[in-house]
Amino acid sequence: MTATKTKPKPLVIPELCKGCGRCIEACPQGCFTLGSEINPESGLIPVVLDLEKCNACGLCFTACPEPFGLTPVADIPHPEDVDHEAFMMGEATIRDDHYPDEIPPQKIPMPDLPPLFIKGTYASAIGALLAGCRHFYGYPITPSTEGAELMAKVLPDLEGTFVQAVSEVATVNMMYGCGGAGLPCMTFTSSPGFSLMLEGISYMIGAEVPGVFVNIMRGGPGLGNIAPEQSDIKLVSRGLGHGNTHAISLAASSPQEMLDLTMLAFELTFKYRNPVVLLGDGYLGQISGKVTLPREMVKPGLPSWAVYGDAEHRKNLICSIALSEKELETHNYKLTDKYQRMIDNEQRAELYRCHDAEVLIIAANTPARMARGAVGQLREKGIRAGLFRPITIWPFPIGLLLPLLDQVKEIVVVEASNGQLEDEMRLALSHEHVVDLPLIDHIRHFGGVLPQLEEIVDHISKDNLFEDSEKNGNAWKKGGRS
Amino acid sequence: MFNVSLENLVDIDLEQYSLQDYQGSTPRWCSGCGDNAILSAVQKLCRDEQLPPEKTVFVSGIGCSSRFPHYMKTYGFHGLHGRALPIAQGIKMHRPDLHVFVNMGDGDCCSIGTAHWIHALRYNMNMVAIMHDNGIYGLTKKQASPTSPKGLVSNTTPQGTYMEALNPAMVNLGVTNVSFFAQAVEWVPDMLNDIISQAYHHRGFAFVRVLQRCPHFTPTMFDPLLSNPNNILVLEHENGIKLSEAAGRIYKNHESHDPSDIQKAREYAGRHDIVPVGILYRNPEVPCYDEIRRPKRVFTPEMKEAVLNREFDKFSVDIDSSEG
Repeated sequence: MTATKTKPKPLVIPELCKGCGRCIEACPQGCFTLGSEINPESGLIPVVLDLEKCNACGLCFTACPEPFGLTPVADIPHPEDVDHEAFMMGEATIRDDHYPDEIPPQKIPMPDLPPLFIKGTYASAIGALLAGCRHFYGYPITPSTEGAELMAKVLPDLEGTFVQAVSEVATVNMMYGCGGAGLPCMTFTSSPGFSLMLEGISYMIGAEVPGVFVNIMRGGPGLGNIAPEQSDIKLVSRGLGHGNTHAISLAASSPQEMLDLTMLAFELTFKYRNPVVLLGDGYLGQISGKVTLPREMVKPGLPSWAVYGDAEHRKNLICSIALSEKELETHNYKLTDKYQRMIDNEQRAELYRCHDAEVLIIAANTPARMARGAVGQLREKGIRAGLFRPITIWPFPIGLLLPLLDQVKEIVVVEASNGQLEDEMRLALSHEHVVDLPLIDHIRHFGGVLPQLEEIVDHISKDNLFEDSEKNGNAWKKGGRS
Repeated sequence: MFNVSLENLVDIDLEQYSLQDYQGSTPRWCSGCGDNAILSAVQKLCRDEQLPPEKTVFVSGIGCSSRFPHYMKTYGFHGLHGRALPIAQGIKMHRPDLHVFVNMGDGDCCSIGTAHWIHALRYNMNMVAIMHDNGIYGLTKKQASPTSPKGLVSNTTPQGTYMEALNPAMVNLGVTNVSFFAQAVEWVPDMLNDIISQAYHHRGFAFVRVLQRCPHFTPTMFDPLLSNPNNILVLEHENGIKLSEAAGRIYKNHESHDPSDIQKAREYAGRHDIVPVGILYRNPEVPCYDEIRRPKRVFTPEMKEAVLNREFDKFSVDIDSSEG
């Protein structure tokens, strides 16, 4: 004999019922009538329920907008459950693993086009367009605004969105919304504006929302100036807002890379459901160079998790809140695992004449351009120099640096900041338990003054270490290495 | 005869501040920029009121207009984008004896700083806020601002702006506790000087919106006002500004408006056919937050100690008795 299940009949909880009357419309039997008495506890006027004609159809449960205002008799909530997150946030917080099918992005071949001669910010904007980005939000700030201006020109004709927001705070939250809908979006900003975006970036990371931030770094702290500095390496590596946050940050050093890395940034931001930062500096945003267009462009897909605003994606939820301690810890373990996957898979660096280098110059962005020239001149002087150029600042490409350490006798970190890049390198070395360090020296500049080629050459060739080494065999002064 | 000597007529020991005493570094604004006119009006006010430079502070945000404190030889605070008002409020709360002036641009005040602006009106602290409104972002090289007229072509609005310009007059006059709102154009020095002077003498938060030319990026924006003075409606009153005879011959379009009438002020603020210039609203009776919060009595060191001890006693634990 098949088991029969009695369907529950409704019960009005007078303290929670606002008397909106949706159940009156929903009930085919006319069991509900508008109330006429004020509930002394809530001050509201609840509906009146007469169960005589009720056939337990259940239509009233779905009609009631108030959680537990109208409830199946079997499900009367225990008072303690009223504090439960599902009660606070609605049923949707109980995450559903069933997602609609993902529409993957498509690569579309590009015709052969002649190279362009454009400035860095334009190259990045074109990279974004070729990566399928049609949604731009931003706020004017020198020296990044030209990228936004190009987007303002072309996006309206590409059925895209360009919004000049009222501030960087508004910008990042527009990106939070757009990214949450599963669409590729971006902004151009510069250091002070990036500072303002950090709160929103923390929310985006927490809610696992993609978005590309192009930060044309300028001199700081505070208002600083509009000249190049690598002032935000610390922020993008260690300070992306509050909480357990990380994001891949890519450092370009030519207009060509501004394009290529912007395209890569869009790929990575969707791959990991995490914001990606592209770092340029004041010069890189402004200098023009030859830029070869890629062979393929991208038609974006639609991820299954997107809150796209259609029936299929109705079940999805984007949020960074997890009220219960256990749930939030689990979420953080998940994020931490994701960061580890980035560390394991996404380290990138350019190694220039490093195969036999004894002196390794470490530099990124515009200072790397000077360092590259210095390597050639040092080699002419008989000093075996090489350039190690991190392309991912976070994760620091330590996996590519470690194999070089056996032959390297000195590392010189050349940067336009107060040692922010060197700190990242030292932290990465420490995480890898490298105690046997080569000597670490540095050239640092601030405020738009950049390390010059001659300065790097002089600094390294004047280093007595090398003359000593030739005279005294291998008597290296090495920090920690005996 | 009348026992008159030079000493009796002029107190030669009394130090008088001259315009030079308020002139800081040489302005680097473009020639023809309206900011220069505002600077000159403000320096004149300081000289006329003999404001001691060490008792005067100019606070600004970010933008062309916000270079202002650099060009004054008073105290200055070149602050953050949109945050000039909170900085000035912080100064005023602790140093009510200082004369506080705020210089903001339209992007500064009406875009990123809007929340601070609304609440500065509600706080109604004693200070003068001057909004240099040129309807464009000049420092970042021509992007539309919230006060850009609809259709303005800029680098971020190549098809023209889509929205009606924000009307700062309506915003000011719509916020609780608004106590002074005036509108001026920078190219009529007489009226500008008068308005800024009355703003300075107002008790409470005096907000002056100054329409200001940007000769580089929007050289024709104010042409309708410059070429046809009848597009400017001068609001005069015995409690407001008085139009000089000479100015009256040029600005023939003038009406009498009692600045205590907020309904009428809102009516003028909402007009699209003309630009009202003058004091639209003034009410010195609105309570000022800095005055409300000023200590009403003196606190001796003993009283302060007692307050702290009373608070600490609530949380102190007697270890001996708890162990016993």
